[in-house]
Amino acid sequence: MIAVNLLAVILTSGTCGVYSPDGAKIAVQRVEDGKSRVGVWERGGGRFAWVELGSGNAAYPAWSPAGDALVYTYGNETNTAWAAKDGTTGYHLRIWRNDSRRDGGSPCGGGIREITGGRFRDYMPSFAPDGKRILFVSTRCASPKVGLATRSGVYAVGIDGGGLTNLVPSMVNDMGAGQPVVSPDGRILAFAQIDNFRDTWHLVCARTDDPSRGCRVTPKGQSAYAPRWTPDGRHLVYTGFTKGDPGWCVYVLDPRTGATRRICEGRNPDVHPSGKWLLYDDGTNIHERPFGADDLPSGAPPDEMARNEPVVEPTHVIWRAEKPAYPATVPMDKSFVFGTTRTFFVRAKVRFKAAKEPRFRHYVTGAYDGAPLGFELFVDHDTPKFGAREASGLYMGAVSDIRLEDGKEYVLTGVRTHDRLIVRVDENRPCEFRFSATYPLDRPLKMSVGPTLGGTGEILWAEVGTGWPRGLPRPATRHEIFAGGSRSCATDPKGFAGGSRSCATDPKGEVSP
Amino acid sequence: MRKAWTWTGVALLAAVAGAFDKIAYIDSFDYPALQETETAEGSRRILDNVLKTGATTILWRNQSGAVPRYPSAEEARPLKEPPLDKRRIPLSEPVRGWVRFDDCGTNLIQVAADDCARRGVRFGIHLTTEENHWESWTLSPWNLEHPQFWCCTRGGAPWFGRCSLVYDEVREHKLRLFDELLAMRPSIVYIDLCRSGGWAPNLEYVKPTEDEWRRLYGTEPPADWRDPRWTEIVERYTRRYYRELRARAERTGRKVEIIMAIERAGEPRDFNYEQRAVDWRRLLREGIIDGVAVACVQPDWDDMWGSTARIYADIVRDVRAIGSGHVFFPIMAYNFWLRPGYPEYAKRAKISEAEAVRRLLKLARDAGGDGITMEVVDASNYSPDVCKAIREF
Repeated sequence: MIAVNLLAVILTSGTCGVYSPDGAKIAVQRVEDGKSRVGVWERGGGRFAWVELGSGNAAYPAWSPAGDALVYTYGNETNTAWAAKDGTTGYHLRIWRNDSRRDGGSPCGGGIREITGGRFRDYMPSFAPDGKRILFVSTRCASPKVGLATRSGVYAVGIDGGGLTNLVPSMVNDMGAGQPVVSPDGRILAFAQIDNFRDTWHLVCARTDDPSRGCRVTPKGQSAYAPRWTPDGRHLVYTGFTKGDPGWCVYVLDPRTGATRRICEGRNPDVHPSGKWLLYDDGTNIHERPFGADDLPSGAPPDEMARNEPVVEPTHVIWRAEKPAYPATVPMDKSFVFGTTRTFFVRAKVRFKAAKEPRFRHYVTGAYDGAPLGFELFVDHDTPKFGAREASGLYMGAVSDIRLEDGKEYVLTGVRTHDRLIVRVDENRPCEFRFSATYPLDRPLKMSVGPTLGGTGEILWAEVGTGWPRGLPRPATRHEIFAGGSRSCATDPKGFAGGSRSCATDPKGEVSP
Repeated sequence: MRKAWTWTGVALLAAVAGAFDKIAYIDSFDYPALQETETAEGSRRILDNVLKTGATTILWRNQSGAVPRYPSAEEARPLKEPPLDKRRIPLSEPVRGWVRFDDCGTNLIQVAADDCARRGVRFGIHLTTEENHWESWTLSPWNLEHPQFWCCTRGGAPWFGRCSLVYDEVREHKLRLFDELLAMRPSIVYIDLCRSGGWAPNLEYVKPTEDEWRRLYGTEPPADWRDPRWTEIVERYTRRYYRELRARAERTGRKVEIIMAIERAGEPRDFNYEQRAVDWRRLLREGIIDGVAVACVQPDWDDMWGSTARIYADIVRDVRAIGSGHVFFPIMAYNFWLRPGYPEYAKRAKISEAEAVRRLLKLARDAGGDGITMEVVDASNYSPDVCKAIREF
């Protein structure tokens, strides 16, 4: 039963409101003349002033730590897509700097500067706590080679527009990120992520010194986006939906435990610097309500849906063959029982031979009762893939972003954990496909080794094992990310906090052989 | 009781001329990288290209995923353009990723309807049932604003890919969208079951469906969504929606022919029933649809022409046994593993594509078909020789 929100009051019209660091102002976006605008509302006096009144759309305002600047996204599409195809318009980041001391306190003083460009969509920005860099989401990770690409990753850029860095890549289509925010101490990056169109938005936390190795922190059965840290950096407020909710709701999360608490219907929350007020919107108006200890989640996560930790067991090769004869059939015994949660891997060193036909060339395939293609390491034209089945029996697969070249040798690795498939070529960046539930591989039948139809490649060796394959960075755990409150890195490569810290754990998170 | 039909001049022309109807459906989103598509002129050039096939009926796609391709009042929301909604990942591809068919100042579907009227071609709507096209940029504003109506997996995870037709609010929303399309005066509506956006009855573990299962069977909903009793429940909701769709069409007082495209004809199991919760024979029997279009078949490739002819004959027999419904057969350039088109016939028979098309056209007519459907005629997938073969048939 959701609490009746009698305590909330409507402050002003708009959405995506954020408190200024001194708590005296609220930056909002509003629709005016059919366009999205950004403005500042004074919490005490109720005065409102526009920051951006250009002819395009402005959205997602965020304050600098000193409260003297706002960053937001701005785009102005004036043509049809065809007419604008050779142009450079897009959605770019703008910084408005407040020179209000000179003009008597009006928040609309100051100048506007565009800090990114190109035909991309750069959006949902936030300042790093040191005030020197801006984190944002961008479609830059889609390359022309990809073709139809629906991808967004997390980026950082200096406030002068220099030092553009991709912090969290998007590896497959419809894998995207949203609203990156760094904790007040500069240690933890939180953002929304979606892994594919069968997934739902969820929150991920990663260490700022290793941002691409994140861990899901919201429950699996919940859709979650738009995170903001509480001022003490201990909790995240966000927009969430769990089956049974009346609509989008404001939730509070303890990212260290996964415990959540639903506050009220609403979205885009932010907490006042005093920690005593909560701001959110209903899609039209900005609301504010008291916020306190009673709103914080306590105890352990309510049910198993909150358990997101990967299962890690010692690496053990259960089958291996050097220069195997193929095509060949190998019986699979009970050591090939992987169920739905056991991590296993399939590896093969192959000499790739390009050919138009057949399209699919399987190297190692495991057949199970109920799932003839329980796992499959294969190449689709020239693209390595590792496939399995989701709980309902439908196909799912991880797709590499590497294209194989004729005559070259490669080590192809496929991994299935309790919540993801991974495919990797040699030591390149692994590509993932994450899922909510997988088909149980309980009744092994036989394994097939060798490319289909023969003669389209060569297998130099192949192996199947349980646990995590050596040399492959494993997914971060919640414990790794949050353990050791005083943990710091000797260097701060991403420069978010400005201080010096050291790493208590292996930054690559590899399992020792 | 159906109202008396009021035939438009265009439909009459098409009916007279279309003893063997050649239906082409258009995904105008196939053209943006090649030419201007967001203007009336651009829309006319698309139509020019498609009419090279000799099409007598044109079907225009209603939406990209669930984003309307016309200015829809029902889906009107401020800040719907990517990236102004946090929940959609923008499509990044040059040109295509920046197209706004719903917000370009022109109702491009109405333009197509008017042009078809001028050219004496029957106009209709290609009605997809999906709410995403396997990518989140195609989700609609209404969908994203109503997570409480999203489908769910058995594990209770909400899935934003589609709102469940089980809910009255969702059905009413979709019917209001259908009303907007009917206002553009289509003579035919073609319901597409292929483009489902990844939906199947496995995603209908929502409270009303689960409650109905508990009421009927006194147990928790089945672990296996393929349980025929589960499909039966979901099918009832699907059928209710199509029945109401039919009623909306009849309410216009005009003749609006409703055709349903059936998938994978010739397979022993009914894909349409199991994966889309649609019992097309029952819909035909109850007068909810006027006919079927076989979207694709799975022939026995060792006897491709003979087995195709038998599949066609079986469908015609089934339809005629129910009533006087129309039957259309595919002349499809698309060619996938589970959806083989005429290129596959040509390749296996070692004949030209035009020759394969001529044989398939003859099979369609000999089986007693009322015409053909050409799936997604894009800029170049129907070669000049193939267009000529269809045009001259």
